[in-house]
Amino acid sequence: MDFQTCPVEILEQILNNLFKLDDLLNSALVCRRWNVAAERLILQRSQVPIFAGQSPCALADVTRNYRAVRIYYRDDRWDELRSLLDVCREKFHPRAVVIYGILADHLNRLYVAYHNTAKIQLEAPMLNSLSISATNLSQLFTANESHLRELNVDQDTISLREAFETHLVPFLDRSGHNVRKLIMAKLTYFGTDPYDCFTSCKPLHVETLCFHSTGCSLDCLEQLAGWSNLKVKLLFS
Amino acid sequence: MSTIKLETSDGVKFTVKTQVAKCSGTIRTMLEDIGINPQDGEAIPLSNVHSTILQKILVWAEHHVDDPEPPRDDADAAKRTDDICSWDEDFLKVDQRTLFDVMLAANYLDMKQLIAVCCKTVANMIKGKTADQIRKTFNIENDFPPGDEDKIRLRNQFCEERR
Repeated sequence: MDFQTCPVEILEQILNNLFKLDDLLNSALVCRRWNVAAERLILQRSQVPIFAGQSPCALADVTRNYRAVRIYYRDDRWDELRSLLDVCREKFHPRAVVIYGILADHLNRLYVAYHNTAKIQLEAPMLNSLSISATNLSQLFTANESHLRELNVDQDTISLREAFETHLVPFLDRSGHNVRKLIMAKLTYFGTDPYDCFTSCKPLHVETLCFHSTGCSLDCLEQLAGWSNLKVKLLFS
Repeated sequence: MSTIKLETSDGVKFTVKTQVAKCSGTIRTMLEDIGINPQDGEAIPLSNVHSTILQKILVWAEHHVDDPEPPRDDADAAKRTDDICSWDEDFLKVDQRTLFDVMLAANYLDMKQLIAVCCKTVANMIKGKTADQIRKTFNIENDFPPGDEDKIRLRNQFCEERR
C-alpha cells in the first residue's frame, strides 16, 4: 500500500489541507485516484466566472458541475450576460451566485430568474441603493463591507409583520449594517394586521423609515404616527 | 493503574495503560460500548496494525495522553498546516512508508489528532509542487488513460478560486 492506492477518504483528508486552489488542481492531475479525491474539494472551493462577451458555447462545454457562479458585471452589458446566465442556470443549478458591481434593476431581474435555485451574494461596493421585493430578501447575502445605505422594499402581497419579521429584519441583521434608510412601498396590508415595525427597527441602525403610496386608512396612519415616537423619522409620501 | 493487552497483526502482544489505549476511538468503543473486559487477560486483536507501527503509535499516544479534547471545528473554519508542534514534527520525520502506515493505522484506530497531524505533514509535502513533482515525491505512477490528462487540464482552465 502506498500513496497511489491510499483510500480516497484519507486522500481527501490530506488534500483538504491544501488551501490554494492551484495545489488542488495540480493534485487532480497526479493519478486517477487523486483526481477523484480532489474533485469534490475543487467543486467546493471553485466557481465558474461569467463575464459579458464570453461565448455561450464554450460555457456549455464546461464539464465540471460547478455549484457557484461569479458574475463580473461591467459596462452595463446586461443583455450579453443574460444569455450566459441562462446557460448557467440550466447547466449548473448553482447554489451560489456572486455578483460584482451590478445595477439594482438588473439585480431585480436576476432574482426573477434565480431566486428559486440559488442564494445570491451581492458584492457591489458601488451599490448603495437597492430596490427589491421583501420576499426576495431571504435569498440575498452581501459581503461584510456592504455599502448598501438605502433599501427600497416592495411589500408584495404579504403583511407588514411578515415582511419585517421573516424577511427584512433577518436581512438587515445579516447583511445590512450600513442601511440607514428603509423605504416601504405599497403599505396596503396593514389594516388587518397592525404591526409596530418601529420597535423592530429600534435595534437596527435605520434612521429613516419611509412609506410610499400608502393605501391604508387614516386610522392606520395615526397608529403608525403613534408608534413613531422613537428615534426613527417617519416620512409619508 | 489498569492496563490492557493488545495483539498486532504479526502476533506481538503489548501491555498498555488503559488510559493510553483509549486515545484510540476504536479501542475506547470496544471497552466502553461493546463491553470487552480487559481484566480477562485476553488481548484485543488489532488485525490491521503491525507491531512496529503500533509501537510507534503508542509512543505518540503516551506523549499526547493528557491533551485536552480538540475543539470541534466546523468544516469551513480556516485551517492551517504550519501549526504542527515540534514534538510531532520530529515524531513524523520518518520514511514515507512508515508515515503512510502510521496514517492508515491511525485511521483504523480512529485517532483523529494523529490522522490530522499526518495529513498536514503530507499536505505540506504537496504544496507548491506540479503534478509531475508530486508523482516523483510519492513515487506514484501516472495511470491516466491517454487523453484524460488533457481533458482535466482543459476542465481546470475554466475555474477560479471561490472568494
